[in-house]
Amino acid sequence: MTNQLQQAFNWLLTVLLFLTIRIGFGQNVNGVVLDKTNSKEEPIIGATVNWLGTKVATTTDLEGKFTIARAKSKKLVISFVGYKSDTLDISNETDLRVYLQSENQLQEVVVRSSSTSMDRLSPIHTEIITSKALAKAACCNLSESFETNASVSVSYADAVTGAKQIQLLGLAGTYVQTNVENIPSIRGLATTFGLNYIPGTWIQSIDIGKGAGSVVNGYESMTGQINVELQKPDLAEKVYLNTYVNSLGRGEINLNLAHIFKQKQESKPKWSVALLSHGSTMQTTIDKNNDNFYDLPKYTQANFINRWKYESDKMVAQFGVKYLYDTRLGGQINKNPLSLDNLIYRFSNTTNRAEFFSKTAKLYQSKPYRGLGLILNGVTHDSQSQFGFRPYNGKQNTLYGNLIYQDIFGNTNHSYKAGLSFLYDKYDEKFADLTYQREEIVKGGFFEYTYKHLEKLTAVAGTRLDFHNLYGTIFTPRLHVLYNATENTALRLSAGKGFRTANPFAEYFGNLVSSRTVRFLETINPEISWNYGVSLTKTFGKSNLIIDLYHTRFQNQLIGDTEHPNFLYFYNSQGNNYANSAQIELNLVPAPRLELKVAYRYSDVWQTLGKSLNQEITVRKMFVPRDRVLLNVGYALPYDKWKFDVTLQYNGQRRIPNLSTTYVHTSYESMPIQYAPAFVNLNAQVSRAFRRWDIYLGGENLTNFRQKDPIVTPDNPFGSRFDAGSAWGPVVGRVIYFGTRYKLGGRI
Amino acid sequence: MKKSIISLALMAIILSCSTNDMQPLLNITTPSAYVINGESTTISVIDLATYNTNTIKLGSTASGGHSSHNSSDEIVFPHHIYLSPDGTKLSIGVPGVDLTEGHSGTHETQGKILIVDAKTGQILSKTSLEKPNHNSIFSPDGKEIWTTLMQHDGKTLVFDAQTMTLKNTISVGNDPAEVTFSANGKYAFTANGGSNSVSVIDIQTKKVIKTITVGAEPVGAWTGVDGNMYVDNEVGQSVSIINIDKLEVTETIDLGFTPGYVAYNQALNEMWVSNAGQSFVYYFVKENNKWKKAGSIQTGLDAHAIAFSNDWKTGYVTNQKNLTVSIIDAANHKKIKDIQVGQKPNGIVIKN
Repeated sequence: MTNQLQQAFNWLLTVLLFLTIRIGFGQNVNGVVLDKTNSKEEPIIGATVNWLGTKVATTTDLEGKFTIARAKSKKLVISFVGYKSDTLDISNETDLRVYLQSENQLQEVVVRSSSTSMDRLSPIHTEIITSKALAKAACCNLSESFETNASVSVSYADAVTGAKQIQLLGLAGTYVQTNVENIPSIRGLATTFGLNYIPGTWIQSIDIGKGAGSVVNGYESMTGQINVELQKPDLAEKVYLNTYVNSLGRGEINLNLAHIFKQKQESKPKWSVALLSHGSTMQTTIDKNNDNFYDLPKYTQANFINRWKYESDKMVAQFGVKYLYDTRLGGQINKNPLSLDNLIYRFSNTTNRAEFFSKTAKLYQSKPYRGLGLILNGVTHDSQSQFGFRPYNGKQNTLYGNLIYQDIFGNTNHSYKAGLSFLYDKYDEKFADLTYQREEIVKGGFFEYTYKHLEKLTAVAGTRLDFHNLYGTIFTPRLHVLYNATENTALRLSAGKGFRTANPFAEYFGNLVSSRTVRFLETINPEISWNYGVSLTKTFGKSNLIIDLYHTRFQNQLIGDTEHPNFLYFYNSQGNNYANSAQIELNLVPAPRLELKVAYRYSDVWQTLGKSLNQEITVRKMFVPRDRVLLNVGYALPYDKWKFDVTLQYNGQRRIPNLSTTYVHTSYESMPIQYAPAFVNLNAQVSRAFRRWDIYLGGENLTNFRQKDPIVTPDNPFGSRFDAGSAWGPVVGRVIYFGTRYKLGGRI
Repeated sequence: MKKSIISLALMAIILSCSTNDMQPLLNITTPSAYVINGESTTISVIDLATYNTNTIKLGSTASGGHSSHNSSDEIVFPHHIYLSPDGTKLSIGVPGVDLTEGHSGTHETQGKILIVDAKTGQILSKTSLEKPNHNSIFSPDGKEIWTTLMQHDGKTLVFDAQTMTLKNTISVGNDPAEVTFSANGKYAFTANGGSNSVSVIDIQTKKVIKTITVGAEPVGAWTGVDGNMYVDNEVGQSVSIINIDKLEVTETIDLGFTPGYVAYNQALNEMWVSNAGQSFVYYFVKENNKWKKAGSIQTGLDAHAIAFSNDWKTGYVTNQKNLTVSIIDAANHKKIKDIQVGQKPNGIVIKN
C-alpha cells in the first residue's frame, strides 16, 4: 500500500511537474527589444511591453529583455519614448527579437505608404494623408492635396487672384497652424498663396491634427495643425521626375534629385543631399463666362529646396535653403470698349521668398528616450501686388528658434518635453499711401507632460508662457487625452487655448479685388480662442468609423465685414463668435484593393457683426457651407498596375454677401440674408503604373458646375460696386489633366 | 434763440492738438501741393521741385484705428482742402461720406472741420458738425472759417478761426456744397445743389445779398482771378459763369459731360474743366467772347480738382480713381507725369 501510494505520488508529481513545465512554457512570451542605428544593435532599457487592450504589461531590463505572461489579446505592443511603437501579432511565438524604429521628432518621419489613416497612438486626433493618398489626385501643390480628405475643404478665395483657402472645423485656414516639418511655415504674408507654394511631389505625407495642437510648436494652433513632411535626402528616390499638363494650359515639371554620399567606414557620419525643384506656368487666356476677366490668372512659379542631412551616432542634423519666385497676372483681358481711354483693370502679384532652416538633434545612445533638439528658421518674404490702381506691397522678415528637450520622470510612463522658443516677425506693409508696420518679438517657454498608462490611457498636458513685446504675457494651456476603451475603440478629448496676430491684408487679399474702401474701425487686437473637442474612433479590421465634435469659441476675432458693398471693415469681434463642427467618417475596405470613404460634416459657424453702425447681430459666417458630404472610391488592380479613384463632394448652402447692385446697406439688423446654392464637385483619376513610370489621367469638376456671375459689375471695374472678392463657387468648369511620374534608381 | 439752438446742435467740439498721434512731425518748407486723399484719410504733400511725397495721416484708417466708425471723433472721407492766407494752416472739410460718385442723396453722417499745421502736419483742431459739409475755407483775411451744412434746409456757417466758435449761421438754398470766395474778397458763394442756385453772401454783413439761378445741381462756384466765378453743374453737365461785379450769369456752357471741377488759367486765358469719371481735362478758349472747347488733356481716371502754379505754367489735376496727381504742361496741354498719392485724391491746394 505504501509502495502504491508512493508510486501514485510520484506519478502525480511527475504529471504536475510536466504540466507545470508545459503551462510555464506556454504562458510566457520572452523577447529582447533592440535599437538598430547605423547597423549597431543596442538594447532598449525600460521599454513597455503589453498586450493590447489589457492590463498585462512589463518593461525591458538592462539587456532589453522581457518576459510577459500570455493574455487573451493576441497583439503585443512594444513602445518607448523616442521610438515608433510596434504592434506584433502573436500566436505561438515565444522568443522575440524586436527592433524599434527611432521616431525622434527632430530626426525623421516614418514613411507611410498605406492610404489615409488615423494616427492611433497620438492623443491628438490626427489624420495622415500618405503618399498613396496624395497620388489619388493631381496634387500639383498643397492646396490640391486635400481633395480626398473629409476634414479639410479647399476653395478659391476670389474670382481673380487664384488664391486658395482651406477650412478646418468650419474655420479658415488661418486658424490652422501649418508647419513644414514642424516649422511654422504658412503664416504671416504667406497666408495668401502659401498653399500654392508647396509642390505636391515634394510632399511625403501630411498630418492633419484637429483641435488645439501641441504647445511645443507655439501658440498659433487654434483649430488644428497641419504638418507637411517633405521628401528626405536619404529616403527619396534618386531621380523623380513628374510632369503635368491640363486642359486649361497649365503645365508643371517637378524634378527631385537625392544622393547619399558613400561612407568611408560604417562608423563614420553619413551625409545625404537632395534638390527638390518645381517649375510651373499657365499663360493661356481663360474666360469661360465671357465677363472679360481672366477666370484664372496667368502665372509662373519657380521653386527650389536644397537640403542636406548629416547623421552620426551622436547627432542628426538637417539644414537647407528654399527659394520661391511666383508671379501672376489677372483681371481684365481687354479694355472696356465703352471706355474712352485705355484703362484696364489688372491684378498682379510678384512674390519672392527665401528661407533657411536647420534641425539639429543630439542623440543619447544609452538613453533613447532623451533628446535635445534645436530648430532654426529664417524667412524673408516680399510680395508686390496691384489691384487696379491700388498697390499693396508687403514685406515680412521672420526668425524662429525652438529648443526642445525631452526626457522621462523615473520611467517611460512619465515623460516630458520642455523648451524655449524665440520668434521675431517684422512686417512692413503699404496699401496705397498707407504704411502698416509691426515688429513682434516673442520669447517663450513651454512644458508638456505625458502620462501613459500602458496602451489604455495617454494624457498630455502642456502649457506655454510667452512674453510678447506688443501684447504682454501669453499663457497657453492645452490638454489631450487618449483613452483606448477596447482594443478597437479609441476616445480622444482635447481642450486648449490659441493665440495669433492677424494680418488683415494678407488674409482678406481676395476682397481687395474690388472697389471696397478698406477701413479699420479700431486697433486690431490679437485673436484668442478656446477649442474643445471629442472624437471616437472605432476600428473593425481594415475599416474604421470616426466621429468627432469640436467647438471653437473666440475671445477675440478679427472681423472682416463685407456686408456693406462699398466697404471692407476690420474690427475686433463683439458678442458671440464661435464655430461648431461635427463629422462622421466611415472608411471601408469591403474587398481587397477597394477603398470606400463616406463622410458628412456639419458646420455651425457664427459671427457677431455691426460695429460700423453701432449694432450687434449674430449671423452665420459667410462662405462656410453648413453641410458637406464626401464620397471617395478607390480601386486598384493587383500590384497597383491600374488605379481608379472617384471623389464626389457635396457642398451645401452657404451665406454670401448681397451682390445686388441696387442693394443699399443701412442696417445689419434688417439686412437680407442671402445664400448661395448647394453644388456638387466630381473628380476622377485613373493611373497606370509601369516599372519606372506612372501615367495618370484625371478630371476635376466633371459636372462642369460654375458660379454664373462671380464678379459684380465686371464691365465697370472702376465703378463703386465692382467686386470680385465674393465668389462662392468654381469659376472655371471642367478640367482634364494628364501627368507622368518617372522614378530612377529607387532608394539609394 | 434759433441761432443758439443750432449752435448747440452743431456740437462744435474743439479737440486738442494731438489727435493724430501716429503722425510724425514733418518740416515742409518747399513749394508744395497738398492733396487730400478721401479714402486713405491722408494728405499727400508733393514737393513741387522734386515731386517726392510725404504723407500726413489724419484718421483712424491711416493709423490703424482707434474709435468706432460712427463716433463723432472719427475722420471719414476728408474732401476738400484750403490754405490759410498766411500759408501756415490747412482747412479740410470732412463730410464723412464718399462724394466721389456724386453729391446727390441724403447723407446722415456728421461733418467736420479739420485744421492742420501746414508745416508739421499736426492736427490743430477738429470741429464736429451736425451734418456733413463739403469743404471748409479760410476767409480772405484768415480770421474766419466758412463751411456749409449739406442738408435740405441748407446753412453756411462761419467760425472764428482762432477759437473755432460759431459766429454766424446763414440760411442758404437746399443741400449746399462748396462755399468759396470771390477774388475781390467781397463775397462768399455757396453752391446750392438742391436748389440749382448759388447764394451770394456779403462777407462783412454775413447776409445773403442775392441768389442766382444756375444749372442743375451745382457743386461749386470756383474762383477765377478774372472777376468771374465758374460754377460746375454736375447733373446739368454745364458751367455757369457769374460775373462778380454784376452778380449774374453771363454765360452758360453746355459741356456734354459731367464736370468735376472748373479752373481758370489767367496766363493762357483758358478755362479747364475736368471730366468726372473719365480721364480727361478739357480746355476751353475764348472765341468771339464765348468759351469754346479747344481740346483735351489725358490725365488719370476720374479727373477731379485742378490747380495751377503761381506762374500758371503748370497744372495739377487729382485723379480720384487713379490714385495720382497729373502734372501738366499748361501751355502745351501735355501731361508731364503722374505722381502717386493716396486713395481717392480729391481736393488740392498749392503752397508756394
